[in-house]
Amino acid sequence: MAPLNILEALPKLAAYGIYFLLGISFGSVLELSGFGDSRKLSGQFYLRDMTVLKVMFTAIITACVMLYLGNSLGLIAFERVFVNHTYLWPGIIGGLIMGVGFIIGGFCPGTSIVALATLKIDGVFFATGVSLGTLLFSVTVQRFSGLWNASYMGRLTIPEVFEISNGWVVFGVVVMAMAMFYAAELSEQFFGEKRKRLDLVPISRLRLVGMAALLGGGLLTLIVGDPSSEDKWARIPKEEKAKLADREVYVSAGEFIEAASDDALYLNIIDVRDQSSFNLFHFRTAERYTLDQLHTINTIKALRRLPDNTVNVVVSNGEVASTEAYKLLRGEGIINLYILEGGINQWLTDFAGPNVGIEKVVAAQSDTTRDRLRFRFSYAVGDNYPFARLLNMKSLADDLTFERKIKIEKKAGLKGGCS
Amino acid sequence: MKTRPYINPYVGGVLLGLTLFAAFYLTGAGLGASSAVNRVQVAVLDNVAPKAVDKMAYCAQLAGGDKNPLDSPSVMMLLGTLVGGMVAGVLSGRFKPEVRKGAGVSNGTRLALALLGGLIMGFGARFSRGCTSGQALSGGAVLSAGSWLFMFSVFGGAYGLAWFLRRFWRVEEEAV
Repeated sequence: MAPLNILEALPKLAAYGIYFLLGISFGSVLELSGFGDSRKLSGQFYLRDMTVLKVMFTAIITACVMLYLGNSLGLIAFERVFVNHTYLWPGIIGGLIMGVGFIIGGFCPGTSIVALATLKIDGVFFATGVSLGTLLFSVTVQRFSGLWNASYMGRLTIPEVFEISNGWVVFGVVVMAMAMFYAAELSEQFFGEKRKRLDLVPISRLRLVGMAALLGGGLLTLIVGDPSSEDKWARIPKEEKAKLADREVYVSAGEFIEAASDDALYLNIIDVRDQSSFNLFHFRTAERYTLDQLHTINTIKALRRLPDNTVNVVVSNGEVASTEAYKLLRGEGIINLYILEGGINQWLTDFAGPNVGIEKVVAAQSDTTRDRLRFRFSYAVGDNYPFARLLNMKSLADDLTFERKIKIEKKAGLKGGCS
Repeated sequence: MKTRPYINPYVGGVLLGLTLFAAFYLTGAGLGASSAVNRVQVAVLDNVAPKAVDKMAYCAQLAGGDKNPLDSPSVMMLLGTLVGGMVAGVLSGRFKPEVRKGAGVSNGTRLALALLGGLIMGFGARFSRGCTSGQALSGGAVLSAGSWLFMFSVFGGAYGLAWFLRRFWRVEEEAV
């Protein structure tokens, strides 16, 4: 299923060739639309030539409708498509800086490449400036790295911000673009170089066809609806699913303790048991979620915001609920995700020892499938047991032998597109 | 050769949208330019002053030690953009050395402003982790919240300053 990720699927030369062809298409469309001409580009900001807005928003809504409709229809796994990560303030400040550069210089980086390619001298100077500007950034970034890394929100889409379905936003964006195009047409009639007679209904057959296709696509996305977490797990690549069957993602107690005391990692413990099991015993710093809560976008958003060095470990009494939670979170694109091997039952068996107030009960046959706590507690003291504090157990882990399975994967936000 | 007119902006937009969709479909990511420009610049620097590159963390991740900063798909895309733009320009009769500028602006002023604007733009593009293509266009299509805020900031910055710079972008008929 798309996205195809040609860099891994094809020989390097073929993949590079496709990137080259995409560039050809990109560059020629920009040139043919007039983006190699700084006078045309700057006309946007004096309301006389709205080409920039028209081309850009037509492109955005065309690709947007196709991507999200493909996602709804199960043709594209959108959770594997790169979405620029949101850094709120760096994005806003950087955007303002770029706007200033745009009106002073008359280009943006991509369009200056096209201008340069058609021998526009101002394009050559602008592109040289871009190069110097990026160098200036590289040299100075350490002085404001705090600001540059501030307000990180991870992968975040507009539907997720407002917690509404993708379809509503896609449809809304298409409608908004149509309204902007209408305003752009009127604006050009009013401020443009060739003043025309005012035409309040600037519609042609071609425009009607385009409008119908885009609005229809948006509406269809809305009607078909978004894929569920189960759908998303179902379309995860086979190799990824095999990790569960091969038990590559089940971490042992020893590695769990080691990860907690590793300063280079941030261990995030996701407890998916019922409230009473949690009250009786849970790890210090563990957060409890019901499986239904894991479905909500709020939980997913919070998990995506965690730093790059986060290791997420799902914990339940046995492995049934935690494996369910694993599928759900993996389907939503959460990475560096693991399951505590044997769950809390195994943990208490290994570490509780002869403790006053804790008694192991014999498991009924059904208990393994129902993910029940196999211990009886006299008191519910939560994380007030020495074996609930992982940091205190480091010396214990040193004596254990175990296989290390945790491999930190970098978030996709650092590669891709333009950055 | 006679210069051909530009294509209908909505048709151009659909073609650009299809290209963008193809990029997402095939590669999982969108279109971009500024990161490749950054790589080219690092590559030049790496030849002139390799030690300086190794010292700057931001550059070293691209070209530290033996790494070749040009061995990257984004550079291939940049090359394609260059060739595509050139071919389209040649076929449309726009492939000729010239300076595009507002009426009544000297070439020197225009080129100085282009260099300055480029410098500001290059800095801003790295600051916001992507340029108008990589952030606004690609991020816009996938409805990234940050990309939309970025896009409105770009328009805001440019519209905010446009009135003060209007004498640099006058059209002919208004020129004195």
